[in-house]
Amino acid sequence: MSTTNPSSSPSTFSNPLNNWKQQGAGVVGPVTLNDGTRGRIVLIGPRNVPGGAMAVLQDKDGGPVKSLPLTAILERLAPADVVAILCAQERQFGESGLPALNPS
Amino acid sequence: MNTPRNIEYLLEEIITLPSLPATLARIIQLLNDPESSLSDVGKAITQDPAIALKTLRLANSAAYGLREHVTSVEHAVALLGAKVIQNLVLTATVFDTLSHSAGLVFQHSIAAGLAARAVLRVGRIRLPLQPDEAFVYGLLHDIGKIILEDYMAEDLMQAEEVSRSRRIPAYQVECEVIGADHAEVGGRLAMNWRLPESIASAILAHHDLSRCDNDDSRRYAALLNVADAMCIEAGLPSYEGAVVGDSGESWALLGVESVTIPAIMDDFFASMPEVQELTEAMS
Repeated sequence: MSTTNPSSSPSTFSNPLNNWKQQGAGVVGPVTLNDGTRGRIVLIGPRNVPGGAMAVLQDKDGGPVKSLPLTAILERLAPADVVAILCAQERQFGESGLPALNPS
Repeated sequence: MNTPRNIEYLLEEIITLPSLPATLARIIQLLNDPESSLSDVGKAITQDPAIALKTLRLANSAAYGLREHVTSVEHAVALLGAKVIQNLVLTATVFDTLSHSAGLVFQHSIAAGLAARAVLRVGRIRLPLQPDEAFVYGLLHDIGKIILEDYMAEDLMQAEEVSRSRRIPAYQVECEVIGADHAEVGGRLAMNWRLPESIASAILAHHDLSRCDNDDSRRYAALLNVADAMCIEAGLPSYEGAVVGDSGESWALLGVESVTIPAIMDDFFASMPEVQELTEAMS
């Protein structure tokens, strides 16, 4: 996936369609932000629900784990990764009729 | 001595590229003739009933957003104008000519057209394209795959199988297995049909922007590259289990930032009913 956005370091899902995992009612996938911060994206509801997509992050140098809505970290993600996350969310929870995500 | 398999070898020995559909050829000729009128264009389309019917269906689809229902080709031509009509006829004829009106490639192609349109109109990228033109670019981006399905189905299936097992995009395997990738074949078909150079080069380079010799061409190819990736992520790939390629360079080249992506995706997701509508209009 996206690795060449000028503002980004190598990022995120080498193949998100295979990396999403079902966890309870939610879906979880790994993420690496442009600054190298690693964490997880947790999808728990459709796009029109606040908090339907959350990022659970821990700074590179340790520190407390933070939980932030996807909208708060958009600028820290590569465009292709935002596409991957939003598509996964829509396929899992949306109503536009996209094929189901089928997370592992 | 074994002849190396490359695009030239394939086109000489294995693949016969279809000729430009007669109706489309006539339309292009008329549109390039300063002496001809829009009425002449309408008459030329009407002379091919199958194409006329599809053109009308497309003109009345949500994709073209006409406020009134049109029942004659001449009326559609008058309302939509020459350039849009050329794209409409191209859309109506191309999949007929390539003998595909069903299957994953067809659905993926329509979705890619809608994705390219969404990126163009919401991403505000600097390309001299109208949204309906962007749709046609996306629609045609995988025409080479249809040719390969017709002439080298087993090799293509093998490339897709290797793609799935090695988790790399199929186009990276096609050169190895087939001797050229679908983008090269599609680019050659577009050139043979004398489609605008910007379409031909975008098709040729949609998986490898370095095939373009200038930034303008690269941006067209980048538009198709991101549209293709959006469709794979959305579960609308051209083959089962498709692996998405790297689109980071393309997004950067288009100047689209991450914060704009949600609005682009909103537009794309909202257009999903059009996939079905356009599939029916073109079948």
